[in-house]
Amino acid sequence: MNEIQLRDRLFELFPPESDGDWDDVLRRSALPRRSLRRFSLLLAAALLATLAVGSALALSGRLGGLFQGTPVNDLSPRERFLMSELDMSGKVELIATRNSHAFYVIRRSDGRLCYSIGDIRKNLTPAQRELRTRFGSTGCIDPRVFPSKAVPVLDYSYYSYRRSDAESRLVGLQGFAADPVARVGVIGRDKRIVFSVAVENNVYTAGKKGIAGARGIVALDDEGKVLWVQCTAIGRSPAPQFPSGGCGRYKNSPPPKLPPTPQPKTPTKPSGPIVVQRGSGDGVSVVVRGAQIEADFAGISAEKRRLLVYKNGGTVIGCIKLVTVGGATNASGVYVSRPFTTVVRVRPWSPYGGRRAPFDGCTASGRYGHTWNDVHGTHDLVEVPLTAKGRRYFAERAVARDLAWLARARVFKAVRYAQRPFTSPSAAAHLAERVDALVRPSDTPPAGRLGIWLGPDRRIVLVERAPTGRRLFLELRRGVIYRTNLIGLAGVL
Amino acid sequence: MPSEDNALLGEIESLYRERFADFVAVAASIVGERESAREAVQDAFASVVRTRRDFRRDAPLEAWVWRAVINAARRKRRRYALEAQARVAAPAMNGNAPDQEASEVATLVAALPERQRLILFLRYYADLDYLRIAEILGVRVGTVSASLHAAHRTLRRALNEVSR
Repeated sequence: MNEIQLRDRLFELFPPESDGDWDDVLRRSALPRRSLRRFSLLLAAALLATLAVGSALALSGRLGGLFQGTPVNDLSPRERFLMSELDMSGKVELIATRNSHAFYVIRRSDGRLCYSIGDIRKNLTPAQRELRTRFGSTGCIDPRVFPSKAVPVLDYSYYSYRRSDAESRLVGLQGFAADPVARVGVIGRDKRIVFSVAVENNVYTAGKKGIAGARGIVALDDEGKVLWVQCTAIGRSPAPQFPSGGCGRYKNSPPPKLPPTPQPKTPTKPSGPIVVQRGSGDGVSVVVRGAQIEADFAGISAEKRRLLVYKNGGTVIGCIKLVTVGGATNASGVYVSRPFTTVVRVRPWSPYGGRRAPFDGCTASGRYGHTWNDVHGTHDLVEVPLTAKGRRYFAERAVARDLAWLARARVFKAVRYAQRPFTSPSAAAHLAERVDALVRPSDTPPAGRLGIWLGPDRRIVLVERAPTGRRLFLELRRGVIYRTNLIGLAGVL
Repeated sequence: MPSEDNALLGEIESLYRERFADFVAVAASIVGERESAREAVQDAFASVVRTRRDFRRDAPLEAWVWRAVINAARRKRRRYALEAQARVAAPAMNGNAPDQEASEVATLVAALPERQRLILFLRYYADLDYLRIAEILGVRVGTVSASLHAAHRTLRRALNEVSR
């Protein structure tokens, strides 16, 4: 079959439609925009909430020795940093792979296990390898709870619907299952099992399948016997699209009863003296006492104040700590929004702890930026370094942002994707007056200038020297970020 | 600027009138059903008209509209055809009893992976060039070429087997 024959066949299959109805298009476009708000409920969260309720029924036995996998020993510094930020540092094992998903178990040092499902990505550039994190949906759970006979399944599916939908859909059916579980089924709108997926190597996935009207999930053994039920169609429905009225003969399995965790009688106080730090910059003075940050904005100009205060009257402020993991430095911090006053006091909180002085610097961001060559520059509106390390970080971050924001700027698109034939000089001229063409990719422009080099195979190198003397660069090959040392300083991908 | 806005609306309308059949055919190749495909095209254009001020002229308008149509068709398929595995059934498409070969081709086209099927329609039905298809789908030109080649090969092999 040649191309002409193929074209004819396609036209036979789809005889050309008569003219459309443009008036109908205009009518539809004038209707109130259909809400795209998706309301999603994480079943995993529901599971954990259910477990928190407790029960009079005793845990009927644990299933041990499960989830042995291949150790993952090639974690990147960034992955290790993110794991420490989320309080899930530990030994990682790859349990199984299914299609394009990988299933991991992370054994924390405190004995808790975290279960994670991530995408498998191949053919990554060195920069992508450094930036990626393999861990997507992740939950940490007491090993006495899962895997156990009382809770043999840790499911990561969730419900999704749009307001215009008649009923919600269960999507993302995937997770981990204990040994006796042979299949995981879905209870449909007619309160029968309408779909099931096999469990292999203690994991299961139904890919992107969505099941409309789903009421819950069940764990089945290899003879089809129901081992466990999680019916979500109970109680008051959060929206008409969510089913209610139970799951018929599939009754919710009782949650396990765990020995109560001893509660401290008095709140624990941090040991040692409270660290106090003071600093000033950009017209703002900052005092940090332990976890409390106090910023005095009395010295800022009216113009800065205009940029600092958001439409809701709030301002965003926070402090960072610089953390070096595996030789790479990353900023760890929590930012909070507060109504703007001359003196703003905040106490940033994180469920993962560690948000106390000493910090390396504090900042307040302004209502600008993220576009290349912005007249307001690439620094945060207020940057108050509290340590020498913090001062270096702010200086280098501003330069790194200049390169990163250029890489994704509209004006750079034609160069990045070779939409027109460019040379180094013509690309520099196309971008801005402060951009210099480089003769070699290893060259560095003078401080305050941005260098660009274009080479064969659509290789592009962007270079700047930071005020600290450090050479920062970003290399693209065929439009993809190939190698860079901006990681930890600026988001680039 | 109102005049610019009116001009853009005019361009969108022209595109709709000139290419309506192509849009419906390509949407049908995704949705698998003609009426839903028409709905998807109407929804997509309504969305394009509504959000036309977001259009940045850093890419051709046609590519932007095609993406809207393809996304609308994919949403439609997800919504109405959870089991849809490219069920492009000829009788459902044109309402006429197809001849044996057309039916075979329909089945074979339906069995192609979605990207190959989509590229096949964008190339041979909508008559778009490789570069434009690559822009619309956000893939490289080489991917378009390879997908078309793979689709051709699959169809040729399968038709030989059928007619043997």
